[in-house]
Amino acid sequence: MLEAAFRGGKRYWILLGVWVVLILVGLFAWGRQFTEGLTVTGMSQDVTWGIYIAQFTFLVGVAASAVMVVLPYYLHDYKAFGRMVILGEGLAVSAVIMCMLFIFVDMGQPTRVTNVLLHPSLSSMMFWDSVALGGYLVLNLIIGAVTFDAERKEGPPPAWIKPVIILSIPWAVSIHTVTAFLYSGLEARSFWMTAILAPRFLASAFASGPSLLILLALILRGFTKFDPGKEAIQKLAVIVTYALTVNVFFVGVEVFTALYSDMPHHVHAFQYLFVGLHGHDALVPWMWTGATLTVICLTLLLTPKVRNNLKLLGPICAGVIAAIWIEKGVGMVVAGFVPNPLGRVTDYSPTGVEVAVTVGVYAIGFMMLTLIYKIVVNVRERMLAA
Amino acid sequence: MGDKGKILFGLSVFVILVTFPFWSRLAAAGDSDGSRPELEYPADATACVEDTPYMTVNHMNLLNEWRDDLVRDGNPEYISSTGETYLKSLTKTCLDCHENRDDFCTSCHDYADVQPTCWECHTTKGGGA
Amino acid sequence: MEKKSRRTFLKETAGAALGLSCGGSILTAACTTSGEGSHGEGSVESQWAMVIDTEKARNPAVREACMEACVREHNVPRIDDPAEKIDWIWEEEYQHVFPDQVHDHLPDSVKEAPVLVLCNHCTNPPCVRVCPTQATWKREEDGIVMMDMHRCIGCRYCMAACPYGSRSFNWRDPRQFVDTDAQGNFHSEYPTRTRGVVEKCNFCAERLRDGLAPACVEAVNQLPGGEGALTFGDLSDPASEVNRILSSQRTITRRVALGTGPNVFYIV
Repeated sequence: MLEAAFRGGKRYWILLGVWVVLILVGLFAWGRQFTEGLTVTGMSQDVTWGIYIAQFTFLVGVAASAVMVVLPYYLHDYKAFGRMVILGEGLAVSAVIMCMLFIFVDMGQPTRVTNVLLHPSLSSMMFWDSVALGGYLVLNLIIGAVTFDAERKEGPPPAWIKPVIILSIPWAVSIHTVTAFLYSGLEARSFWMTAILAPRFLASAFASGPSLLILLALILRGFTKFDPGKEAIQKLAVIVTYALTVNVFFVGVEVFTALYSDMPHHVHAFQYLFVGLHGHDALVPWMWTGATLTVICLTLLLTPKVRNNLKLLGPICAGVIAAIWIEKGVGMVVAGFVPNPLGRVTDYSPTGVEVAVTVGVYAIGFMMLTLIYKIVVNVRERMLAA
Repeated sequence: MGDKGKILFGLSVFVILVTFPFWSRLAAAGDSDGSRPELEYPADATACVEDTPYMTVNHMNLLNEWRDDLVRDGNPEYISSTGETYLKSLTKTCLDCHENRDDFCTSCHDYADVQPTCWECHTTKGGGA
Repeated sequence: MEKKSRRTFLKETAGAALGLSCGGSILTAACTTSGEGSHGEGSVESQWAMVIDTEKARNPAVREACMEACVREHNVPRIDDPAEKIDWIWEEEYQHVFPDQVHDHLPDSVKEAPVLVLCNHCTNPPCVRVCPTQATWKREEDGIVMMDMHRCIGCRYCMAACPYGSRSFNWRDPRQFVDTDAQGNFHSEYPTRTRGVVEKCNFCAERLRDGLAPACVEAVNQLPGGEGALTFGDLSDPASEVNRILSSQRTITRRVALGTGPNVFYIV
């Protein structure tokens, strides 16, 4: 089964080659960061987290969203997701690996990474996040491997896997909840300290993750003989529509609370994001782009004719991913640091090194995804031929 | 099957990579004549906090314990197996006798090819870098 | 009624709400194992504290003396770039130190008056709560919020959690920015830091061990006109000078509403 990863057409090898080149670029950049320190990044004493932690947050959502195919398939016996489930699990595995790498590259002392396990602090949400993510990775690896192996042999999966699958459902919710708790438990940061952060994270995750899955499914449809199924893709589009609607509602609830109460601490971050604060407006164009994309995509998705058109669905899903990436990956993390506890506004933008490292981590994740999907597709194509 | 060559090639690449730390160090050791370094012992002290064989093997563990005791538990006094009391301090106790860190710590660490990071932060007596 | 700390409250309610002995015990363990001993209110045997007389510290020479003494005592690097500046004790404007005390009709001379700030060594420190490796913890015997530079992994979570901006990260190797004398020696034997760790004021734990007052306190008291600008003492000792001041004068702390319980007090 695994040998499929070593056989493929020209396009397959070119794709792997691209990932390898990007990984090498990222490694080289990280090497510079390792020897010189995090001074090579755009972060500062005021904005202490940047693009790495933002990507981590975004990708935890992507990982968690596998539950959106696992739950209908295993709990509601929704057969159309039969060929989609393994794709979701593969995406979850590579997303979790990317999350862990983003935490790793953000560390000032990466050689001490084992301290998190050697000296665990049970009151730290970061400890619980590493436990949740590690567990989720193991769960998805086991579930994916066991169920796919059974399918390959055209027999039923072993009975013991069912409770493991059931466990993975709340576990998926937990990884993004704990990630939200990382932020929402901090009395120092009013922008993050909101009870709706965890629900909001989940809603945006269930919009962006399935969007990515739709894109990947469309790519597979276009380039291989394996078709995850039109019905499955359209059902995912419905899920994206619901989740995006709920996310817009949650953001609206948050904006109302801040703006109507008009409490300076709560207003400042939103001001910084959408109109600029004390002359600092680095994120303003980003945020308006994100907001506009959200409105356009939601309108299109809410129109059944458009949503069910697979040709249009691809660009719409790309738009949803971009919008959520901006909301979570650009705005949410940075705005928490603005203004700083002493009222100072400091802008942040990633440096070339940071962008290169980020691209490198994504390349590692997508290379893993490519290999996983290659194996899946090969087995499926062989089964179709038989 | 026809994959024998590929498998053997892959295996040998793997073995070479995995054993890299060992043979690269062996190659590096070839640069010196392999004799043990001459350590400079303090002239005006007769005994370390524990005897020499123990210290040779365990000084790094002892320093780790001292560090946690002093920094974390606020417990600054070390009572040795001979009943002597010492302050748990690299700068104030160890370096009090071993005044020249280059002729003691560094020469042996170089020989053993270990790179402890103590001196990235700790100073010698009087604040030397 | 005894005021319950937030931590005790969390422990009890979570245990009760879950109704699960295992869930409860995990949370209880969370509260007792973290920070090598609990760090909730009332858990420390004694608590060092500082009182800053903002009027006496109006004199620039006083502020300069204590900031300078700290830099020399701890080999604090002198980095001018605000993005990478390392601060243990430094000055900020009144309006930023006490944002809840400022209104539109205060004159600029009040709003912009310089105030000395440092780590508050909080009774309920958020930095300790969030640290994933117990690299920062509240020391039981004297309430100092300590930093273990050997253990810090440089995740900077504590910097996100501190409501006072009292923590600085070493974005690069700080040694090249530390003052040395003519022989190339540092001013103090206090270890410098390595890149990639967080640092902050330690209330001069290394001096307290030798029975000395913190460097900043000693420096202002040696300065003519600076006597009493900073007062340091033990809150658990009823006869201490800090307790005498706190019981007889009007003092405030920074951002009381957050419940962190700062142990640096200000006479304003």
